[in-house]
Amino acid sequence: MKKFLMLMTALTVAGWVGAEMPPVDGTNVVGFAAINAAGGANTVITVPFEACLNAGSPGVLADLVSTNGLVAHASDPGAADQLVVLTTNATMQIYYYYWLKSGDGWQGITSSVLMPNGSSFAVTPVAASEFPVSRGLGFWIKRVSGAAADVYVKGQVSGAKQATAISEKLNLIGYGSVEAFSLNSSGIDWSGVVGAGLNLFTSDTIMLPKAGGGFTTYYYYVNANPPAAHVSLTNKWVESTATGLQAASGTIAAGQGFWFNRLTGHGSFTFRPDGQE
Amino acid sequence: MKKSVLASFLLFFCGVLTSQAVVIGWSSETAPIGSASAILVYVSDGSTPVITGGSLTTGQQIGDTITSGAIFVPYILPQNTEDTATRNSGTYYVVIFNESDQYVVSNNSLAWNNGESISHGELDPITAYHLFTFDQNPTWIPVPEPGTAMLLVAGAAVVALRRRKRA
Repeated sequence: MKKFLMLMTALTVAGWVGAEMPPVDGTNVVGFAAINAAGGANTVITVPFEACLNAGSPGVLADLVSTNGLVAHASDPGAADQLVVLTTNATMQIYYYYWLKSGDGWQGITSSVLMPNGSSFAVTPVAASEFPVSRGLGFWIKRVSGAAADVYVKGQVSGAKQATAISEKLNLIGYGSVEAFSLNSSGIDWSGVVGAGLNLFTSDTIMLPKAGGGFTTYYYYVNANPPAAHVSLTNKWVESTATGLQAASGTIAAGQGFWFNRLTGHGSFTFRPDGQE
Repeated sequence: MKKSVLASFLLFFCGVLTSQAVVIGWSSETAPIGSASAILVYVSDGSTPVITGGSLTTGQQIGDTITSGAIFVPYILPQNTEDTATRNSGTYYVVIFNESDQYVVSNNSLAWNNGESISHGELDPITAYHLFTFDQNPTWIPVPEPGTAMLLVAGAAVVALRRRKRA
């Protein structure tokens, strides 16, 4: 009987204490996103997240991509899924390659760069656990044939507006959104992009990988006095074909990135698709 | 230069430069007055394209014909033309036609292995469009009709026959 009373008292006190304690609200929300990346193809993935437990900081390559569903191999890099990141050494843009080794995670691949003059030099990637990838930046994933389509990226969800630095020449970027979007959506702010009129080859370009390989190239059309056929195309991303211009159509899946070619002389800018600060 | 390095890297590492279709990025800002259509032409030995009897006798058309919707003199809007054949030599030219089916050939050409304007795959995108140049007031070359071309050939054959008889 005494034991029963003691137990009831303890439960009552515990319940009272629990009711009086304020709830602890965490500020860290971890997100997962499934991105379609078909087997036997190359896909650009854009990271919509930041480093876990470190808001505002870029995640590292090894942590951002979940190995769940990816193809690893014990010894053959060519038989495993690979990540390819664009980076810059002292003088030029180069690629770092990583392959998924069974039990060991992402391993760098030492490769050679052949220079136009015939000389070459070796490129040894930094560890994937040390390569930072900021929200909004992209990288390639090369899936082996037969691999499942979905790839999962993970990290801390950010409530801040995206701000992605774009420099001259090639950039691998995207809109770090969890929803599909279109280039000409009114909700995306393209301030800072340098477009062009009929001399459209001087425009910044977006090159969006196609499912079967290759790209669709888009130009930003700006023309104060456009030809009649172009009136509805001004201040829009357009595709240039053998028969003329047409507005970019279709949607870009959530998590899919693209090349952004910032022409030399256009300078750098910050891509803020969610609006300017 | 950097694009060349990336392309070289791709060649060395992936070995795909001579096994895949390429995409040629090109445009023009000097298309002559009267330009009505254009074609990209590949010539294996690098010589200038020639049109006889209404068709190319030197060179091979690559991709679709560029129509007037993509030509705003002096501009030809940028084109991304796919060449599905494997190349290991040669050059690309652009041939422009006017409304009278006369043509002019670009003053310059693009080498088959240009690094900046030719893409070999997703990791090797086009970073600069090759600009084909033309004289603003060129001498348009008439394209002989097939019948005219046949008459010319027949005439040449007769001349050759007479010379042989005289000899």
